Amino acid sequence: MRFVRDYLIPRLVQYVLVIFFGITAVFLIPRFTGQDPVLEIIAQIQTQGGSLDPIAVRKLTETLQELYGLRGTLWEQYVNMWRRVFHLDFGPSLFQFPTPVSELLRIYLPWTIGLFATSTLLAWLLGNVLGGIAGYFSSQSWSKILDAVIMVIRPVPHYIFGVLLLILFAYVWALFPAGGLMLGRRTVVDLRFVMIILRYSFLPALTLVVLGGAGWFQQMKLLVQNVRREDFVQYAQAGGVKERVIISRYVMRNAMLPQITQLALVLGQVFSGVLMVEMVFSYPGMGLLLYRAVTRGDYNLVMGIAILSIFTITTAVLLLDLLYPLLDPRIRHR
Amino acid sequence: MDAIITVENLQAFYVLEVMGERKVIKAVNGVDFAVLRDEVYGIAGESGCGKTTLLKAIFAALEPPLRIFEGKVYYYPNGERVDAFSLAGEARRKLRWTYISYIPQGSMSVFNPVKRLRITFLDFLKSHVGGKREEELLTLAREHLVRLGLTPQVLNGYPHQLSGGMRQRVAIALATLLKPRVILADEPTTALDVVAQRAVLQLLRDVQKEFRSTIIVVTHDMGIHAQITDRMAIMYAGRIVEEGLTKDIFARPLHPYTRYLIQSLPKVGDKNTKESAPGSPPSLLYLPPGCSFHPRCSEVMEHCVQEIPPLKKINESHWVACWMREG
Amino acid sequence: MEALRELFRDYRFAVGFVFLVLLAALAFLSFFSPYDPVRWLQVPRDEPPSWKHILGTNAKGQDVFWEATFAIRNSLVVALIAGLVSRVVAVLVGFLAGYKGGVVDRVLMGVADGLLVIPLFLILVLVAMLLREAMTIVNTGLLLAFFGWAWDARTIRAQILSLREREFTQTSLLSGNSTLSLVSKEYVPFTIPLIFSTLISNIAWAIGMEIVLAILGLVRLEIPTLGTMLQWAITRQAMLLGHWWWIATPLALTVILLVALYWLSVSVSEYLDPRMRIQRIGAR
Ligand SMILES: Nc1ncnc2c1ncn2[C@@H]1O[C@H](COP(=O)(O)OP(=O)(O)OP(=O)(O)O)[C@@H](O)[C@H]1O
Ligand SMILES: [Mg+2]
Repeated sequence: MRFVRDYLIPRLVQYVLVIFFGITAVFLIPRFTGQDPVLEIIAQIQTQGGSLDPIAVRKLTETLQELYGLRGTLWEQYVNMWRRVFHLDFGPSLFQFPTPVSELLRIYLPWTIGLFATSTLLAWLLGNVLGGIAGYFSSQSWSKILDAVIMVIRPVPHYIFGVLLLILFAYVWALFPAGGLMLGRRTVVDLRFVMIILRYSFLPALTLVVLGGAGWFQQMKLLVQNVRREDFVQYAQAGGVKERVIISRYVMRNAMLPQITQLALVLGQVFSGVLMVEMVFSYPGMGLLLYRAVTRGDYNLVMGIAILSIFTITTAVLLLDLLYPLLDPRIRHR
Repeated sequence: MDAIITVENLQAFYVLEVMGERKVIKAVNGVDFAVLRDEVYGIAGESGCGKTTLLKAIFAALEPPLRIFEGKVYYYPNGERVDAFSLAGEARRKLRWTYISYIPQGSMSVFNPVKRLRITFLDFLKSHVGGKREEELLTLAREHLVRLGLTPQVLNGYPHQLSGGMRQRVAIALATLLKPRVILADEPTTALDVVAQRAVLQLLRDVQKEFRSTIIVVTHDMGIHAQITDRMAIMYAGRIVEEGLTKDIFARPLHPYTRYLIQSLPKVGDKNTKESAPGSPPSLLYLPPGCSFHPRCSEVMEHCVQEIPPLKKINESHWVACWMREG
Repeated sequence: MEALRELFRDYRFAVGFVFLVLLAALAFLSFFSPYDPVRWLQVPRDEPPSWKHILGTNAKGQDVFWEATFAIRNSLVVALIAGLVSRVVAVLVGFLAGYKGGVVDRVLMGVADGLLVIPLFLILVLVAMLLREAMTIVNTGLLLAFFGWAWDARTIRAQILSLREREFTQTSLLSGNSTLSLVSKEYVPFTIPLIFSTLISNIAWAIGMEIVLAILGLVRLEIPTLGTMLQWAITRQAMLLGHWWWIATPLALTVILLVALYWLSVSVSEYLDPRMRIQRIGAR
């Protein structure tokens, strides 16, 4: 089938290639920069007052090299790394020694995925629906006002926008907590638990939905203004098809397709935004974990986060690519 | 005979703001004619002379930047005269598809690309036929296609799955769903191969016979006019320069421009190279003074440069706008 | 010049331009600063705005206003280095991929796509973490440049592809012009406006990225930039202590700077959009 050959297979190949090269890059970068994390850690321990005798230093070096997968030739290390990736074994975390990195990731990842998935979906839907309607009625004043507001919001980076919301709604006007949700053992999922999660997730999600939505809004508005001039829309208008049907089934439905492709393209950036927002609000996800790992020089953890994120994003992109033909018959029935 | 559409002194211009400056493209510049019941009326002329604009005005589809500056278009539903431009929105919507219907230029792209054709047909039917269930409407659409000799199977497909010729024919079927009295067809055969062209022409003839509709065909292809139209008008730079029975126009073309158009047709056994009018069409922004055709005319006289020739009656049915035909 | 006058008619361009000039002037003021940008305890600590210190002083004993002039200057330098260097890469890759096509195109675009799909930010963090001590202004700019070209290379390639379709490529090659002179004479003029508008948005991206790297402590924190200023204010609890002037200054400056840049780029790219162009020039 041509669909399989021209659409499906290239995307699967791309999926495998991006993961392969991405993880290889994560492996190679530390080795190219000429920095030795092991030496750094030992230096760190020594500056923190622990005087180590030479034998202890050598033993520690060996242990750390073992743990970090830094033993043997470059090739051996590389093969070894892939074996560890497949076993989801990234060694121990340094700042929560000896908790394995994979254990930390297992705790924090669901929080990130939850925030990432809901806020991205909400932003996409909200931005596209509002942008579509504003684009269709682009000469009306409410559409212009909305556009002007978005012109100010859109260029603000995630981190700054998050800080602004945090100051406004957690300090000046203390409606929401300024972060600090602890990840304890989850006991029962009751209403209180859900309410707590909502309270702590509201501002991070708001940041992501507003900023993301602003972007989708503007693109959709442009797209709709173009689609509106297409023959099939003008013809349906001439034929007296109801305006509601024209907006939804003719204009939005068609303008939506490039927005799905676009979503796949920017998903990596969107994910980066999620991590930054998590840092602002101390939301217990990968972003916060990353912040702690970076500020404490925990290479293993940073690498684990990077590798897992590459998996998450590429898989999400693949899912979008697989979803697309369901919505575009020109791809499905070639 | 009864008129079914009349156009009186119609001036339809595109008004553009260019760098703060107002530009007016005089696409239809004072056009008068009447189309009669049951005939096939042709409009010919080279690209950019305003044919599509004229049809849009007749259909009263006036999207900016297109604006009517002068003139009237009248419809005659149920025998009474109606001004097309002063129709209220709902009344106009009702007349469309039932009284007057439009097959636009490039009608390959009039279908929603992401929906099955069935949905598009239903959307159009629902907007005009009230109080019927979806199933009944669909039956209506199927029967219509069968009557026009098309397979109802096409309704289950997507537009991109049809060939160009087939898509054009389905577009004609969509436009004629509600048996309109008048059908405006803009370049229905352009960009089709000869076989598909013949099928489309046959379909138009069938529609006319089946529903006793009046058809206005616009095409730059004089061959099509010879095959299908009863009467025709020749347009040049936004004006009608000649009008008459098609057979008269081909037998005795009066305007030099008409003669060029006919000479440029390939003839069987004719080895001469085709001769089209020299030069290029004028800019509708800056029309030449006098007769717009004079810069390209081989028989130009002094008078042609000074004054615009009016459309003059030569006999019962033949009119021409040319100073050579004075007296 | 004609184009510039046309652009100034757009209020977004005018406003963006004016604010950018003001910020540039502020950055220039840093050369006349009475204080050293790095040293601590030059003025009393934690003072609210007064005539003497119009934006107050911070917990490090520095004047916030003069610190901000340095911060803008350094942030602009980082962003300009990132923007300009990545333009070189983006233009080379875009031209090469678009002009050569075939395998070259597929490989280069594969690399660009790969860079787009993976969360680049994490790779950036990983590298910055390893280079931490070396993260001076110049190096930060270069690092951002290294990761900031993929999207724009794609855009430029698309433009080259559409230029290649036009006939002057054929006629020019047939009349014996070398590829190089063809590219420089025929393509560059057409792509310069596009390169300019990608430059503006890339600069904005770099400014935002520098802030995040600073928050993570991955640049030299003693050098004042918009990012490090914010980092100090946040880690020293300016929010909690109510030292709003310290945290509001970098926030406000960043927002103004980025909004100004964004309005400029929107205005320019709308001006360049062929569809809009045609509307301006009109038919025939
Ligand atoms: N939307 C528009 N805005 C501005 N000018 C237009 C527009 N549509 C058409 N024109 C101009 O009006 C003139 C007449 O156009 P029109 O489409 O009516 O010509 P036509 O005879 O149908 O030509 P063709 O055979 O190419 O279809 C042309 O000069 C064209 O450039
Ligand atoms: Mg036309």
